Amino acid sequence: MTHFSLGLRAASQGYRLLAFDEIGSTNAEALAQARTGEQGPVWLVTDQQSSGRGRRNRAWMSPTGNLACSVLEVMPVAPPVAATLGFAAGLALDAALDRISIEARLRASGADVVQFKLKWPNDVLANGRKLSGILLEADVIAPDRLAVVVGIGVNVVAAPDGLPYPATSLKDCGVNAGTEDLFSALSDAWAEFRGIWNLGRGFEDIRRRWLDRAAGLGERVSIHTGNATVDGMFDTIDETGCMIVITADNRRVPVAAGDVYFGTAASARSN
Amino acid sequence: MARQPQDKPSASAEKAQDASKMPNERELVRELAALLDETNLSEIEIERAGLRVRVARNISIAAMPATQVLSATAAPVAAAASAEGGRHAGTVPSPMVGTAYMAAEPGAKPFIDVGSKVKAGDTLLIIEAMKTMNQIPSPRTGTVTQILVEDGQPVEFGEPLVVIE
Repeated sequence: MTHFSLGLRAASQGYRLLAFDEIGSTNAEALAQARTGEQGPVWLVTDQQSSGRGRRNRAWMSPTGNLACSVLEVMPVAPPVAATLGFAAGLALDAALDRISIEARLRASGADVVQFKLKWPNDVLANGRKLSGILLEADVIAPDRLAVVVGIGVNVVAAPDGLPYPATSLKDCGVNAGTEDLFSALSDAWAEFRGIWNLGRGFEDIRRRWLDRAAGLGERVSIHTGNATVDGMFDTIDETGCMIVITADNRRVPVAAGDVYFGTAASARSN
Repeated sequence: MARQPQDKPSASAEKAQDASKMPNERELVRELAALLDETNLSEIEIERAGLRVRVARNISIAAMPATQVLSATAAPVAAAASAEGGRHAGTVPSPMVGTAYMAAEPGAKPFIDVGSKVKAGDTLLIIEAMKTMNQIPSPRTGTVTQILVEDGQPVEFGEPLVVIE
């Protein structure tokens, strides 16, 4: 069994840890615990996740050796504010990945340099390929208490085949790191960026940092959202986190949700 | 896009160019604001003879304080709806801009149908924004009498979603 532990910063800020050998879904478990009184903040991490889920309940494969974890925070914020927490989550994961890949490079001199970028709203790409998935779920558990669960999956040793977009793993990128080190770094980075976000008051700072790490700014983009598609150029994100797309007829269209395709994929999808 | 905003029509006008050529601009703005009310549109923009006037209601969440507490939007939904007049007291408005999903995944059984009995706190639908899935709870125990949004439809802040009686 893997021995997961929180980083020092996370532990000192009062985060707790629940580690499992195997579980259906860390997000589902965290939400279930919130509904029965768990107040957080608490991390749930597992060696094996048998029914991990992504957006719209798409299966998220997480074999042993990949990281599957969730953090539960119960907060006095409104749903639109909670939705901006995902950007802090992307930044935290990006920072943790940067740290462990640098450490791996120091251990094995000459190892590859990996470029991490953030894809709206909160995927981390490694060398342009999808390395991780983050899914937030929010549920009102009391009139002024929103339970927010941030589920984070990272392809550490294996990436699934046959996806409609290119995927990769840390191992594929030449980074030999374990889930223990990544989890510990992530718990610390989360505590840091959750603090900067500061119940949404710090979103402007998060937004600036996110834009510095963003993939596809100024590029052609196609977003498939529910029953509509928006095509245009990815300009920025606004103060609510919406993607701002400039369309061919020069309109600024804010997009709150959807599947994002850049560049040639955008062309292929919109044709 | 025609929306059915729930706020008071706070007309704001922005003039793209010098409006002094048009002596009755105030009248024009007033008329447009009245038209906005009458038609229940969220925005009207006209342009003529070097003058552009846009009259809009503030239905965006952009101006909402980032730290607004949940109780301001989610819990007293029924009370807020009835206070606005005209709308059914059991109307559940959207707490946010996003995309509405009536089922956990495409093709799955919807959380509710018209006629479904629900308890306070039961999930009615999910609204997604920025890959955050928000479970929208029923504010009361009752029967679903209207479902006002379709699966996959973009929704605005305050837009009526479901009526529970």
